[in-house]
Amino acid sequence: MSVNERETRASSLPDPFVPIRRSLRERIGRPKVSVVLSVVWLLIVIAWAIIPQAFTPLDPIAGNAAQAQQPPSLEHLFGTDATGRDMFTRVVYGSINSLSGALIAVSVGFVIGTAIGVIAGSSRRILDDILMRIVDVFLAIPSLLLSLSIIILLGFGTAQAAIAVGFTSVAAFARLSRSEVVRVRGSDYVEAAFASGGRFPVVLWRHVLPNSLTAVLALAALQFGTAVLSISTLGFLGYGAPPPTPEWGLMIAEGRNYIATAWWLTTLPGAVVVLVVLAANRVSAAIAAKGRIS
Amino acid sequence: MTTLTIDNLQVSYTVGRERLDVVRGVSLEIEPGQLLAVVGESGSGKTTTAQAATGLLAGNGSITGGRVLIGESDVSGWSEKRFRDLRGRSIGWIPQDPNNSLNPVKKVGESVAEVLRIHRWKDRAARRARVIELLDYVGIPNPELRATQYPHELSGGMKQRVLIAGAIALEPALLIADEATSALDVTVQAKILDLIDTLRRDSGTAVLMVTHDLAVAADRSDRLVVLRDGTVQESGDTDRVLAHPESAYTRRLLKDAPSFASLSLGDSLRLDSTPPAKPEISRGERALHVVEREVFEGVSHRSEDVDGSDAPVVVARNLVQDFGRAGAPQRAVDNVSFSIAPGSTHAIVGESGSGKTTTARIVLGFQKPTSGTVHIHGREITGLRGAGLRELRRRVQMVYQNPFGSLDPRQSIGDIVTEPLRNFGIGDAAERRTRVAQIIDRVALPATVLTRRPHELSGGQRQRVAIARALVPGPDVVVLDEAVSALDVTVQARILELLGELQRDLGVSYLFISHDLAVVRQLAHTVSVLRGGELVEEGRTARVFDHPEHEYTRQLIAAIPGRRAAAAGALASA
Repeated sequence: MSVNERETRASSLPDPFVPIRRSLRERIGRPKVSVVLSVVWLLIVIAWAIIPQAFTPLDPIAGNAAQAQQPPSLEHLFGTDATGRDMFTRVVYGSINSLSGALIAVSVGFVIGTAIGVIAGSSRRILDDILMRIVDVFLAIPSLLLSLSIIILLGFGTAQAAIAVGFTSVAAFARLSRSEVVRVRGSDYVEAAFASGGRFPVVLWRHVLPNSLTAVLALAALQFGTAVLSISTLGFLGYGAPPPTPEWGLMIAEGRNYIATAWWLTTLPGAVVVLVVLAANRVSAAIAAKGRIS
Repeated sequence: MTTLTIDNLQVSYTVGRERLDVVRGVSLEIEPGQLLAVVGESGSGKTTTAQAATGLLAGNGSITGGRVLIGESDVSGWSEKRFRDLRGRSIGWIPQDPNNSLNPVKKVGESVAEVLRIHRWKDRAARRARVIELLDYVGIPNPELRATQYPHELSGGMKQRVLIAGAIALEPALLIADEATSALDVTVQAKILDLIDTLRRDSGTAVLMVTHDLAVAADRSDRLVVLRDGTVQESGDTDRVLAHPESAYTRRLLKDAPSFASLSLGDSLRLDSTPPAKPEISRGERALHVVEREVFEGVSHRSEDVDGSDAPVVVARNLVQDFGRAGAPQRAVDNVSFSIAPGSTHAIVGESGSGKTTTARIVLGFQKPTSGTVHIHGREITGLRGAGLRELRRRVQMVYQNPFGSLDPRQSIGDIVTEPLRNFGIGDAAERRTRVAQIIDRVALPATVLTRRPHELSGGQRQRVAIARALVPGPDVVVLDEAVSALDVTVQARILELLGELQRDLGVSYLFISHDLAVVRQLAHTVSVLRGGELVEEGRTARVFDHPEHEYTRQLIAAIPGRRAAAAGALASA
């Protein structure tokens, strides 16, 4: 309604020009508390990855056998494991593995998936059909099974796990970006761009891509959370980084043996993973909502 | 006893933390059997007023003052539950877009029966009989069969009749028609309005008609209420308002409404319906124009300009367009021919499905016709590809119907208008800037718009931007596809004026695609009337409108609303 109102006033005769420029502050609007919390949490985790030594004075690998299996205390926030390593330190140092892995995974999915989607969405029937049927096949395979198959081909390791996880999201990116490209291609302003002499690649770059990317970016944020989870899953199953790397999934797997006596070994790293995934989802939803409004 | 009384109604919406007063003190009364029309442009609060009367306000809207009386009872504070009983039983609602308002997975008979079932009207068998009776009453042929069909099997007019059947099923005292005929073709619209008139006569139903179309309101209403910005500008008996409008706003609306302007007596004097032998610019200006082109484009592509050739710019011959499978093609355009003289406007009019937009797309090179030819400046353009097609695009530009969809939301107005120059490699950066600044000034927009984005502009301003974009590469022909149909009437009038001015100054030809005969009469020199893809009639606008030869043209012209208003206006000015 507010837009309508503004429209009317602006269009009253003789087209007096009423500038309705909105500041960046206004355009973002009042951020929701949950979004702010999510962003803050993600920033903290990113800071862990960049400068872990600022958060903890201890070593993530070397343990102190005298202090093994201690429950969480002020000295050891997340407790210590069977070899006396400080769990909080390990979680902090582990964030680099999880985050860079997730980043690689999302990049792989985003770049390959969007490329396939844009090519399919903007080309002729036959190529579109071929590409999308391949994508359908990928969608039909359970993502964990797919990433396990890929990792067996690539070999074990953090980077390999990340790439394997990335490939499982190619299909999702391809489908979404194709549908966005098809939607934007059918719009009047794209036809108008062709009518004013635009060549195909120029129109694609100048009009189609910028207008189809918002939804894809929201998916990327969503996939970031999912990728953290998947990489941890692979780590838990032993397909990721080898011990004693402080990798979240691996830490949870190692703590499993002591679950009856030392609950903190699995619970606290698990909670960190859950929070990162939730925060990424919340941010993704906020991006998607923003895209719908503007 | 009045059927509906609205007394100093005030409605506001809460958006974020802001409160917007949308209706600010609207009063009206409807007697049984009367038709009261609430007229206003978009955002005037006309629909909100109707919604407030039925308790259908959006969640963030509330009545902040005044009273609404239905019959004797004040309903302004009523709960949703009490309103639910009222709706359907005492108030019938005819929605705006018939194509969106019927449940697509339900047979239309069930849709009509729904209101009866909700209000527990008799038993199943009686309801069935009543539905057939209603469908028959609203003029649906073979109602037994139609009741068992789904909405997609019915035409738009037919669906609107079904919705009316549902609205009157329980014989409500009040019927609210919110833009009920705006989405329909003009001949269908006339029939639906006739049906509403019959209904009023037969059962004394009062009708509240909400519309942006002053011509329709003027033809059918007993009383008129003119709204603007949520306040009543004028209210009174329709005849009085038309003959002696009191407010300046109403006078302007009456002046700008194309139906009145083009139907009023003696208009042939005002309107120059003869295509000019040459564009109406002097030789000197013409030479300047050519020089200007040469400066910007390096070479003149239009030697014809200097010769002043009278040969038509566009000649379309025997166009045929089939769609669908080769075995059973759907013929969208069937043997259509026309030509456009330089500096003149040719209009293609027709109702939906007449093939007018397809014809325009063929001229633009977006569609390769099944057969037939289009020559632009003597050059065959059908089947052009690559460089040839791009060269065509430079000479033939287009303005779309919807100014909200035809501008890229992420680009600034400056970028949008510069784009054709960049694509065609016209001039360097500085020249482009001057040229864009000139054209923006020419379409009467302030230079400050260049840095803004489309969503910061109003509909009229956006359409000016679209026109600027079409004119900036210096085309010979601009295709206007329903280019003013989505605009409010006052804005529409300004855009039409601008188009006329630009044609006089630049000598550009227009191919004007429209369903609105009133607008066509104002702008076009020559006209082709299409029906079902076939050319029904063609000729000079004045001839076609004053002495239509074909029966269908006569029907179309007869269906243009606004006769009563035109007559009243003539009386008033006499």
